[in-house]
Amino acid sequence: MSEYRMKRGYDLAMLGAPAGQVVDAARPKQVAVRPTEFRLVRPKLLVKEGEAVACGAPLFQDRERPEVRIVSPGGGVIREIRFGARRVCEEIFIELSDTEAVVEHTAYSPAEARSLTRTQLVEVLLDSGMWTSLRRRPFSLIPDPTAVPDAVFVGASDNDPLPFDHGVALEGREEDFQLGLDLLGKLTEGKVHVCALKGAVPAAVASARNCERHTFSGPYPAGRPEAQIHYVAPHRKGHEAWYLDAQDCADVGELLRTGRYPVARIVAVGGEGAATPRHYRTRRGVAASHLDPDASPAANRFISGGVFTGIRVSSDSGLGLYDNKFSVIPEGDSPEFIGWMLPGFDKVSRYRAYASTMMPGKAHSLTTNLGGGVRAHVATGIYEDVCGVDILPAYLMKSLLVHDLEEAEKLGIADCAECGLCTHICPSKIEFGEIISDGIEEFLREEG
Amino acid sequence: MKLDFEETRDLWKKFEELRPHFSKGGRFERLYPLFEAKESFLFVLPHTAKGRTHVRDAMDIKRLMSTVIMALMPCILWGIWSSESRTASSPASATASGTSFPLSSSATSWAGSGR
Repeated sequence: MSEYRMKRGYDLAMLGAPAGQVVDAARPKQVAVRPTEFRLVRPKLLVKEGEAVACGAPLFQDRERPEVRIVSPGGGVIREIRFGARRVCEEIFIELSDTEAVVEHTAYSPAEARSLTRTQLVEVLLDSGMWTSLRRRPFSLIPDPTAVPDAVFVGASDNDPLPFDHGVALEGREEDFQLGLDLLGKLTEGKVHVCALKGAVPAAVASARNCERHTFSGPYPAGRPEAQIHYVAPHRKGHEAWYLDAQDCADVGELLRTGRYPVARIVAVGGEGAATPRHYRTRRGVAASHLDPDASPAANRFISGGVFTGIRVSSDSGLGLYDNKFSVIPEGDSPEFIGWMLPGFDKVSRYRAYASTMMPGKAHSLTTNLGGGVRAHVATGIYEDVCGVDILPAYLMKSLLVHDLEEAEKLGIADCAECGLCTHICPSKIEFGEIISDGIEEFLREEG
Repeated sequence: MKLDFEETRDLWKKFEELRPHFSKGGRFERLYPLFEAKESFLFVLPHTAKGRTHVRDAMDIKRLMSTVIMALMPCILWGIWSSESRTASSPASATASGTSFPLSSSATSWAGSGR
């Protein structure tokens, strides 16, 4: 087991961290899938409104790579397909039936599963829809089934302000997790790496075999797999690493063992807006309003994922495929009188210019308010201080704004962990994350 | 310390009433920067995060630059005192200019005791 200590980053203490207890949630009436969360996937719908669909049946496929299909996390009827601007399919809602039909795949005993060849395993993962749980680094894309990664990373850590506890998620799933690790090992010619936070290593990770274990300490983004890969297997041009969440790794094992697309999921609901921040035992694609019906949609923002990197969703929208938590935080849409010149005992800032600096570690209430107007960029050097990977975010942002992709590549666009810290910290309130994300898509289109 | 928004609601309403006149197509469209400066001086505006980073640091450019000014104050005061005392203690410069700054008498007395 190797240890890494990340020095740069930023820990933000927020109210509403989810409690470690797990509560069984009632069976939801509907689940949902959001096609827009998959980078560079152009969805081709395979279902229509009102059509019956089985759990694990494909809902849509990528137009460029038809073998990449996203499957239904529940059996029932397609209640609604929501389209956005320019007829972009934004969300598919599935109303669950009492007796859910399930797509059955071949079930293997653990020994049989471990004897599968790589080609057979890839076929099973593609057929079942589990392939989409994998992402490739750089750029967080669904990997090409014909490619072979240098390494596979399993992320069992989260240290964003409202952290998800992988320890409770993997409780009782040790065998599936181990089977998943053994199977993922077939996908790479290198090693399988499992990353956890120092002092919070889940039991399933501590007892894992046939893998390299790493522990990370330090401020956020030390718990993000994208940042961890940067330290363990830094990006080299023409090489790639694949990664997935520890719950998905256990799901790979369960899929092979049962022959069914696994839908059970531990999901955290956190944030000041949540009535009871805690973990729930529920299923994929569940809505935040189902888990926490007391959270007011009028006063709060619902986020699928963390507060730095999540996607804003409506309260009835489903949890993202790559997310394991909802963050519910108050909307900051009311003006504050001379707020910028007050001492700021209740303001949260990394800059030591607010009185709250005298209370380190105190959890604060944060809203979605920008805290100032959008202004021209000022080179303060703060971005480099908080960036968890070895890049210069300010220069990268500027090169992307002028579409200088060659310069952006030199400045490490492939290394960016997309952790959202540079956007959070920016006193000019510039959307660094959006600029970098758009730049990555432009870069990928140029690359072909 | 936080001033409740309820207490300042009337003032905010006034700004809301005036906004159309300074916005695009309004009578005072060209004076919008002036309106925005006044508005954002008095209020932290109700603008919320649009992208994937939903919470923001409380620091903005106005406060950042205010701290720069505050941090510069000791340097400015030192600079005034230092250059004044040097000017006053130098006989050549005093005779050449033939004039003195209002602070020079006190500066001379401070410098005289120290140097």
